[in-house]
Amino acid sequence: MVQDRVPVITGVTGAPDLARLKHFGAAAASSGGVEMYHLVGITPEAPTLQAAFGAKQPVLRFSYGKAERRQAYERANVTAKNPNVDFIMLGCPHYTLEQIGEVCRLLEGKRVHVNTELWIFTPRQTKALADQKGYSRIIADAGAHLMSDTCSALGRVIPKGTKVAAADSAKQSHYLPAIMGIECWFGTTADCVNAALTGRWSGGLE
Amino acid sequence: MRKIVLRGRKVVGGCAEGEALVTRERISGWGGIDPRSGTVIETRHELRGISFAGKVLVFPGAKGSSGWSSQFHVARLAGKAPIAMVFNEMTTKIALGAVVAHAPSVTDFDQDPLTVIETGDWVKVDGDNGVVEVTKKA
Repeated sequence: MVQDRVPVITGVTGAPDLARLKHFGAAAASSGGVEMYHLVGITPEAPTLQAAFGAKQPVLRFSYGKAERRQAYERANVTAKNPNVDFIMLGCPHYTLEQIGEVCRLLEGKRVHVNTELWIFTPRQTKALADQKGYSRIIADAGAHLMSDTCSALGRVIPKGTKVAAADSAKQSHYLPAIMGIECWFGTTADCVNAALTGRWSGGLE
Repeated sequence: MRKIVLRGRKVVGGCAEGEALVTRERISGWGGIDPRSGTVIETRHELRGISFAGKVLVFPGAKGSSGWSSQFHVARLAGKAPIAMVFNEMTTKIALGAVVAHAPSVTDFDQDPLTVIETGDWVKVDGDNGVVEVTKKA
């Protein structure tokens, strides 16, 4: 809908953390063509609505509520039918140290299901920090893998025989089915880790 | 045969002619096409499964990753690029893509090419002069 125009978003309450801004930007840029966005009261050039637009006027207006949220969620899940998940891909865009920590809290002391693979991608500098913090050990002990400097869509690499994947990234769930010809669920990080542990997708919209 | 002439602005010079492939949906390069076959692969795209290889691609413009041009470059190396491009919206993605695809390309028309041209029409693109001649199939 927005394509390559510059959206100005109002009504975001509370400051989103870096990971949320990253996921939003990645999703808007991959299914559309958004190269820049303003969040009023949050991003630096948009202290007010007026400052975001300058002398210009908005050309289109959209509202985003419960129904639109549901529709967006369903569109991100359009390829997914089979609840038996073979592969969970996290780290698109590459995970921050905090995101790796979040996965470790969900994963610690547990084992990835025998029918699934959990792959996590992060920059190699972040992986070095994850090694030092003990995160890499927790991930390895759970039977998951922490990898660097590529991704499943870019490298066209998924576990052998994968038919159904899951990701916490709208960008990855947009690209992966098109590039690899598989199904892909989209949900929260917790939904994805849960699928990795149980082998089944049980995520849904809150 | 009915002929229509559209006048626009040169993006990439040269002349090419062929059958038109028209879409009203923007095309994603990286992750939206398989450059080895020139096929559109985006899940909900109206051209999904259809190849633009050897066609005059008529479309609104580019969307998605800034890797757009790299995919059209690979398509050209594989011999699967469009032979010419006709589009409405100039962006950095499409400008570089048109250049590396070596496809005569024209934009900024006096009439909307998406209204005038239909898939299957014969289209002659003169990139040097910014002229596109359309021969309607019926």
